[in-house]
Amino acid sequence: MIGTNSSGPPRSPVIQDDVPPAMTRLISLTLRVGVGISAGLAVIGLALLLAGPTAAFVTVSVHGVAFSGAAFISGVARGHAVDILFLAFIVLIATPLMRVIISVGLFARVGDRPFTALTLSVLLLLGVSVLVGTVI
Amino acid sequence: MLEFLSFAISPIEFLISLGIFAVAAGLVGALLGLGGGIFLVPVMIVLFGIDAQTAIVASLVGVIATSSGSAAGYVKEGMSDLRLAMFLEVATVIGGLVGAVVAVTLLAGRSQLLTLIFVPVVVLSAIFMYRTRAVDVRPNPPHDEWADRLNLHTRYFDAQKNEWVVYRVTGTKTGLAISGTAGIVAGLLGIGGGLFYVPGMNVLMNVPFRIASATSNFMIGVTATAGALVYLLTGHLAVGLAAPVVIGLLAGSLMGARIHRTAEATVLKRLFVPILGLAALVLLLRGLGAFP
Repeated sequence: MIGTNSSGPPRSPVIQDDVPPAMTRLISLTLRVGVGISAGLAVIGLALLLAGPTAAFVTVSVHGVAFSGAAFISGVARGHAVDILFLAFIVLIATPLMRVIISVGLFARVGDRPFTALTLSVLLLLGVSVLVGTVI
Repeated sequence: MLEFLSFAISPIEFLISLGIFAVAAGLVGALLGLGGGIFLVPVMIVLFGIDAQTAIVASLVGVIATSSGSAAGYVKEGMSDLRLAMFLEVATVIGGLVGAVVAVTLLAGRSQLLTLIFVPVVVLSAIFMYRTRAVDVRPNPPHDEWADRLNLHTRYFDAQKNEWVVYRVTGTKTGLAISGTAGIVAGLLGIGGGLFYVPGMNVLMNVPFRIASATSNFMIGVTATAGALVYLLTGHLAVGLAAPVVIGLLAGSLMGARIHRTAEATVLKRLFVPILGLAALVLLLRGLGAFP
């Protein structure tokens, strides 16, 4: 149904009647911070990569290389371009994950069982992605 | 060797030119809720001579940045329908996971066939969008039990019309099927999946176009994440290539989100139809092997 309403223009264009009040603010903040950190790291990593041997510019990939947490952390600390870029992408991929985790928590807090279950399902499926990616 | 239209170029030239295309793709993508990958992947393959698999993975990661960057604004302003997005994400994440797994296992090196299969789906989306471009929300859509039970119906204030628009969501089962398909396409071809979400939500689920577009942007991030996790952990991400793609797409998406706030829904729809046609043509050419 399309129609007018007497309550007047809102501060925001959309009313989400059944979304926990803190959700829009927290999700927006999470996305903003996650993307900001990731973009910052990507810019730094790219600058370092360009400053180094340029032949590796496109071909740098972790394909076929066993991931080592200790070597990765050490690489980031030493300002190794590939490790910093890798960190940028980890932060980027973790950003939507974080907003799903926040959604689960907020829906659970207000006792919205169907949406707690739905968002939890999404989170579990993303966990399956990690598992599948590790196993393949 | 780095190249543009088969000419050898320096890394700096490569970075700047790829970045410009990524900005343009991000801008159009955010404007239409597409994610930008549908434009950027063919550009990377055809113009820059980048291997298809590498381009797809870089695009998929870039799409997360596009989605998250523009969605942050949409969510804050209340443009994204969060409940509807979270409902549809169950199907889309499954699709994204399946698409990525199929891409790195069964269809490694055989993506042309699947690209061809998706061409009629894209054409169908364009036809749906063209036929319904004059109507934004149906006043009396068919009753939908799941939408009632999950309370997916809501309203938004249309600043252009200066009135409240109440929309009743319908076709939830179809919406889930389309979201699952969109997820598969996203995981397989490195595109956001908005190509399917926007017409699916708008035409079949009775969601206003501007809301469908903003909601699509919000969903794309999670869809791409499901696939990107598989690619990242299986070592298919070329970080040096993905960095300019991410930065460019993000910058473009932020610009697109600004324009989206003031754009007319009918104008966006008119823009969407030829872009869908172009996307179908590119996919067809790619599927037929017109370019590697």
